[in-house]
Amino acid sequence: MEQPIITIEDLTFAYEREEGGEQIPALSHVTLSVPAGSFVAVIGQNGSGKSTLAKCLNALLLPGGGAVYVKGRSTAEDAAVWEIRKTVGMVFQNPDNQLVSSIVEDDVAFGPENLGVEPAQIRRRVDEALKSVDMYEHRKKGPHLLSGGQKQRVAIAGVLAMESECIVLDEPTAMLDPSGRKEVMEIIHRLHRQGKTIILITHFMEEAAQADRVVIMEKGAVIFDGTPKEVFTAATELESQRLDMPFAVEMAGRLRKRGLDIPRDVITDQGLVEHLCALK
Amino acid sequence: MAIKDITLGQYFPGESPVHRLDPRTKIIGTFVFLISLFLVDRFLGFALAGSFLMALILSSGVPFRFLFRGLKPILFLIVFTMLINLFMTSGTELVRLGPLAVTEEGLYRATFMALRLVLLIFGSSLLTLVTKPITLTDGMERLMSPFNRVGLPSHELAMMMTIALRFIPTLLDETDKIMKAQTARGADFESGNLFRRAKGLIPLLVPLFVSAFRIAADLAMAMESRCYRGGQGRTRMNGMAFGRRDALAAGVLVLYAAGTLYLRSWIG
Repeated sequence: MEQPIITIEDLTFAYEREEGGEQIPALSHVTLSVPAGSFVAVIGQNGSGKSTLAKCLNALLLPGGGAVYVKGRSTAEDAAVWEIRKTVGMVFQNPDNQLVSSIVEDDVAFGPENLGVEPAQIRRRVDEALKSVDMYEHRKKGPHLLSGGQKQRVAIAGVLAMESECIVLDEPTAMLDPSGRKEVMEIIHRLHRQGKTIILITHFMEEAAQADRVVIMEKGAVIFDGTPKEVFTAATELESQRLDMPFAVEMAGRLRKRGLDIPRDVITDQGLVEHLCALK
Repeated sequence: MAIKDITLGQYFPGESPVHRLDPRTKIIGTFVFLISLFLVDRFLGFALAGSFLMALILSSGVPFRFLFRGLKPILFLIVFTMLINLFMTSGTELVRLGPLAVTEEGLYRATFMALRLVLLIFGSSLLTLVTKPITLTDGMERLMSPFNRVGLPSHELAMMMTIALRFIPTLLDETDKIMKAQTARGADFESGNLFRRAKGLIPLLVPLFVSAFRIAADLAMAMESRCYRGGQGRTRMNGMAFGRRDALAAGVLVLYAAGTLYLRSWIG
């Protein structure tokens, strides 16, 4: 089998409080491997360590114990840092705080400029990246004139222009309204279909259900790792983790209680509709 | 949202030949013009400078009221300078108002100083009116880059300017939000004397600083994850190139400078 794009081995990380040097554990013994081209959702409550995990993936944070390998190179290796950050692009939660330039296309060019790409080549990449997130017509605008969803799409374009193979999105939709959320999720799906590896950190179950694989974290550890169907089939156990189930799963569960025959692997609205129509 | 709608800088969008000059040409040109104003020592010199500037303004298509807008903040300074020169210069008396006398030399110098100040303001405003702030920053970076060797951090300075320009609207937005939040909690930003009002700003400034630091931390992380490592080995998407237009401008500038020097007494 092909080498996974990201391999996490027994990763442990703790933040140090400034006064007193007290250690606050954030990740404990996380082991995961992400094959190239997959779509993984990482879900968990606030403080479950999911954002810390994201920052460990491109050497923004270095492992306290264990190791993270990107295409076989350890993030702790100084010489590999830029190669790793180029391979694993990051999109953050706050759409305002990650755009650097006051012109959209200049912002998208920021990554390739840092990598020392030829100007003509940058131009080509920027145009392509903006087109693939449907922001090409806004290329001359200032970010402050865009909606939250549009800003996040620009941030994604910035990663695409670096030609990153893997995109880590750290709660990209948390600060967006429903329509912005939808726009961003559509782009994420499109990129996945085009072969990018996607790691989506989220606390929306609905979004996680759209991935190939769901990793659930709690208190810095992975407590579940499987396909969305497996996750929601194990629903009762998970409800104790107080994760909100997608509407379809909850609805199906309630209907089952009323005696309707709905299989446990129905997890999307579409699937539920199909089953309900078939019942008649 | 009102606070967000203010225009940034004073750029007047346009496609005129002046707009399309390379920013470096415009910066150098402005410097030459400003220096020339200090070399002028007779009215004929101002006539040359004035008509040169007038020709530029007309070809840029920037309406005059935009230039006058730049004059407003220093109107007091101009009037003050005029009055001082008018009354404090000794020489042939023209009119006498009690202890104060207006002299011929005073009148001459007052007009002279006022003309110089007005042309200085118009000249420098024109630069910012016809150049986008971000382009201006890029131009400055290129012009300063030869001084890197003597330790001038030209890239860092330009990056700071770029980020400042980018985050002015964001911080204004933030200010607006905090003001509303604090007003809802009973803060009063509008009444009382100066001291009271200054004190009233504390509940605005403290959260604003906190959020500015938070933004800076977020941005630094985002920049790092996009492989930012300073100016070393960095390329730019939009290269700058002097074109034929810039050569022409340089020619005109040389003629203008020669004219100014010619009109100065120790040459002419």
